[in-house]
Amino acid sequence: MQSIDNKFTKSLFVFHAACSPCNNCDIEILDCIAPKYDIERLGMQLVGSPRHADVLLVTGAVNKKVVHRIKMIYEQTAKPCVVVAVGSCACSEIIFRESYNTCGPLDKIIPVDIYIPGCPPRPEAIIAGLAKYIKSRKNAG
Amino acid sequence: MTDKNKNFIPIGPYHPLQEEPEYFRLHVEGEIVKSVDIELGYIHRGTEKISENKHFDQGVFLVERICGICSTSHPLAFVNAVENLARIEIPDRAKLIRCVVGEMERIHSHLLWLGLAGHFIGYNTVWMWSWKYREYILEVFEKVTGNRQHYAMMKIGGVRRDIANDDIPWIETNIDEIEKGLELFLKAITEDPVIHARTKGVGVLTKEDIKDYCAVGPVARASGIDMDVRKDTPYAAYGMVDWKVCTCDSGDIYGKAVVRILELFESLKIIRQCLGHMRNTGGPLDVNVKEIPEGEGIGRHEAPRGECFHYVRSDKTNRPVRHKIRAPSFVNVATNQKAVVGSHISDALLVLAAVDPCYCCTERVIVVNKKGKLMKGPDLIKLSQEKTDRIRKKGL
Amino acid sequence: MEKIELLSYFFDYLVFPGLLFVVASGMLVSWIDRKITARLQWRVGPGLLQPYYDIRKLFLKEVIIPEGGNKWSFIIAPMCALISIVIISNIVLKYYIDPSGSFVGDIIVVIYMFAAIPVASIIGASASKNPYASLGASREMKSMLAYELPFLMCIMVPVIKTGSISMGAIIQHQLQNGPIFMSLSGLTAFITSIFCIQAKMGIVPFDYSEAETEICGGVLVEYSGALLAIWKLVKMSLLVVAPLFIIVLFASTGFRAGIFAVYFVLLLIVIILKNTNPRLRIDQALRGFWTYAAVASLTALVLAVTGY
Repeated sequence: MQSIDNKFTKSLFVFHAACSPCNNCDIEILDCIAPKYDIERLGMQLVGSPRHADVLLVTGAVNKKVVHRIKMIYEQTAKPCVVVAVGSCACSEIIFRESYNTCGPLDKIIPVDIYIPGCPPRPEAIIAGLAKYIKSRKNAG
Repeated sequence: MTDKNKNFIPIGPYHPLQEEPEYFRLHVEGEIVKSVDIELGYIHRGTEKISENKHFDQGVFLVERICGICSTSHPLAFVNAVENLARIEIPDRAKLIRCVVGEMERIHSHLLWLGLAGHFIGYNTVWMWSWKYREYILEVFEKVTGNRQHYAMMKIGGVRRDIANDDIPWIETNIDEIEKGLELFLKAITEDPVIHARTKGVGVLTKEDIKDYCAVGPVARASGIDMDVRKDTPYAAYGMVDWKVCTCDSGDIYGKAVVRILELFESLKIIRQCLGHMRNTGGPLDVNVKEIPEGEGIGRHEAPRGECFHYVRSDKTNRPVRHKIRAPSFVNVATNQKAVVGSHISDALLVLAAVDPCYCCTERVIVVNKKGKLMKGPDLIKLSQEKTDRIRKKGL
Repeated sequence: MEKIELLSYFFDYLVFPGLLFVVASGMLVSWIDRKITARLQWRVGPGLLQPYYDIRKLFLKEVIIPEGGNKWSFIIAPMCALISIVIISNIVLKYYIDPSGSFVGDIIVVIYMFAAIPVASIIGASASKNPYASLGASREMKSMLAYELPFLMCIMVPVIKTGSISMGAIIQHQLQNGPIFMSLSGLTAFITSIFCIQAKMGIVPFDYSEAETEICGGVLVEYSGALLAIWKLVKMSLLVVAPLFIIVLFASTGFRAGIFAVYFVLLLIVIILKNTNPRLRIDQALRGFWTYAAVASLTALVLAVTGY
């Protein structure tokens, strides 16, 4: 588990990496930036390149074509970084675990720090998950 | 710096332009695109195979999770297929509720596309404003169905939940707010010169191209083809209400945007009429379905992206023997091969997004059997005529 | 060199109007930009210290240098850009406060330093082997070709009207005879130069070299950690020095503190242009600059020569 410094709690750059999602979790993540929830006031920003990111939001069940790519993205991200499994497909694959093409939940492939279940998790749940993590880092360091 | 003659730009699998992974290889010379290679398969989860192990009523939940944005389209097409197989007739109130939910999904999907299109051309103000108006529809969904996405409203034989008549005035207030926003967007798109400069004449598809690629939905209607499943073979309550199909003749990105916004006005009209009918229509929400007989059924629905088609074959057990899904993006994405040729890279990216692709709907596997017999066009026509004869004889 | 002279150079280049001033004012102006943008989009927006938190956090991340590219040009490019901005700020602000110290040709130094910034980003982008970065670099080059000529012609207008290429002399002329934008040629040149600096700062509608949704960040795609922080500081401080430069050339008045008000109005114009327009395509921008902007600045030049 990567530990991030206390200074990271005020400013997080977020990169959204989708494995094999149904798109719902991705839309709810983008909804966090929309005017109703607005995470920019909490210091979080969406960035376009994994090198700029501190938080990797990973959605979707991982299928065979994507496995080595998600590992590559994790390696390309500048450390320290936090990996968040958003949605029940990333946490535990739900109905797709019987499929011939999926490779196991996300934590078998890259180390995961936060799990946010839900199908899809509401934007409030995503923000609450990140806020809980920030609080736990503040208390620890 | 790379050699100018053999240059390719990879778009994806992970790119800020796309919410899902898919790979496009643009072959460019300088900044002009010469051709594109499309490679999909990153979201294939084997839904059709999983469906063979599920009961028909579990299938509705499975099929909902094929895609999140068109989350009602697949269940609606699937229940249409099973009801076609079992010759079930659903009550009127259920038809009206299905129609309302389907149209509300169209509103949410088109507003989502509008926001993302604005984001891709760098116009973040349009993104934020259209997603703010989208929140009104999501609140209505939450009140009526319990969730913002993945509503689980469809059931074989009817619908699962009712829309209380007391809620209808509140729904109509929200719809009025959305209409104000739509008028703003229509004016903004038709009057902004920079948007015209970026979207007019870009990614043009002619009527012949649409026919060659069999494109459906707003992509076809933007090139002037009047094709809409709701009008051609009405299902649910679309035959009971008065509305028109919107087309445009230009075939470029501007045409696609205008067609989508005009469709939203028609959706609001349909919803208002359905809510009015619902005030006077009571009755049950579903019929009791005991078992699904042997046979085949097809179901179609006009999803926000085009015609969504499901085919189901059953052999009297409670599970489908074969469940085939054809999503609209399957045919629409192929038109990119024609549309991006000759445009700049920035325009090519807009063209890829203007088709409103939903790649997670599209992922199917085809097994090519090289050992079998090769059939040509006339063979296929003969095969389909024989099958039609068989079905006709069985029906009599 | 005497000790006191050394100390005063130290102060000028590192504190005011040097590095510390440029960085602090850049962060403040970047916050104003983000807050107004958020309000126009019906959102709340970040807190006052947010740009500072972003930069502070970036210094704690690891710096990844891409393999296969030129390591030293990758590292030195952002630092050269920051040094250019410190030099520009020094020349412009010091001689605005005390016009007597300026030397002949200092405007040319400023123009060179302004041109060094896109060249540094081109070198930094080409130093990695990323196809998006090379696309961004080629767009940056085309962009420079587009706006440099009208920009230079606009700067010629105060030079012709005052008859000297020393910034101090131009400022003193305006203190005696009124600001240059009060004349017809001055006004045309001033308005055209606003569009030129919008392109120079890489802000919508001219941000094609760094378009996040088209080319993943363009010139900045491979940067991370402290080097990315320096690029972000360069972008923030460009938002301070570029408008200040044209204000000093066109709008210096006897009321010296009035520069804040004019700068704020110019900043508002830049932000409103940013939020009400989508991004232009590179060839459309080239055409626009070489037709409309070039014609406008040529007209301004002709008017200036004939005395209007």
